[in-house]
Amino acid sequence: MLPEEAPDEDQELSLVDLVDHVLNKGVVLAGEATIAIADIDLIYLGLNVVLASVETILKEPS
Amino acid sequence: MLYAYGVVRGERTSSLPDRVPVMGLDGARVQILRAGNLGVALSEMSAWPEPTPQRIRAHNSACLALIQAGGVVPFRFGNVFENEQELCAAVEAKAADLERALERLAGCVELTVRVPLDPGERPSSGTDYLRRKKRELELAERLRIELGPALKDWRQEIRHGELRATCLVAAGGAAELKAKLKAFKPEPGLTGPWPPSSFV
Repeated sequence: MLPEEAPDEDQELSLVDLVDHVLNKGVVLAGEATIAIADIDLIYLGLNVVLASVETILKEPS
Repeated sequence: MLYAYGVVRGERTSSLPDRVPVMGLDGARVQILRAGNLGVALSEMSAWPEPTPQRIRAHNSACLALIQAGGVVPFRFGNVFENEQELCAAVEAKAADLERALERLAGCVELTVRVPLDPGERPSSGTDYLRRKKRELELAERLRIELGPALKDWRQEIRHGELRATCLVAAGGAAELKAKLKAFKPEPGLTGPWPPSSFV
C-alpha cells in the first residue's frame, strides 16, 4: 500500500526530493510558447514562477 | 481554470472517481476527463496555484493515489489550462508519446537511492582521477546488481560526493527493495516511493 502523504516528511532530504520530483520532473504540456528568430525555434517554458519559488519553498516551514 | 496532474488510461474515465476518491490541490477532488484514448486527472482552480509546500505534497499524493488506481504519467507542477478544450488539445498533441509512457509506467513507482562516496584525497594525476571514476562506476554497478530483476529501469548520476540512483520498480515491490537495500554497504539513503516522474 502506498502512503497517502510524501514519505518521511519530517526529513529534510525528503522535502528536497519532493520538491525535485514535483517541480523539476514530469511532463510539461502547458505554458509553452515557441518564438522563432531567423528560423531558429526558441522555446520558452512559462514556469518561471515555479522556478523562482523553489528557494521560498525550501525555507518555508513544512 | 483546470489544473492537470497526469494522464491515466482512458477506459478508467468513468469508474475512477467513484472507486478511488483522489484529493488534489487545496482539497479539491480530482476528476478524470477523457482526451482521445487517454484520461487526464484534473481539478478546478480559481487562479494559478503558487507552489506552496502543501500544494506540492498534494500534487505528489494525488499522483501516488492515481498509481494505485492503475497508473499515471505524472505531470510537473504547474500544468494549468483555461478550459477542457485547451487541455484536451494539449494532451492529444502528445497522445502517442503519453500512451507509450503510460504503458511503460503503469503500476510503477520510483525510489531515490543515495550512496555516499569516499571523498578521499584530491586526485594527484589524471590516472588517479580516472581510477576514482572507475571505482564510482563499479559501486553503481554493484548497487544495480544488488537490486536485481525487480529493477525495471534505472538512472544514475554522481554529484556532490554521492551516487544518486533513481530506480523504477513495481509499486508492490517497493517495500521489499527498500528492505534489501538496508544490507548494502555503504548503507544508502533512500526516499520514496515517488510517482515515476524521472522516467517520462
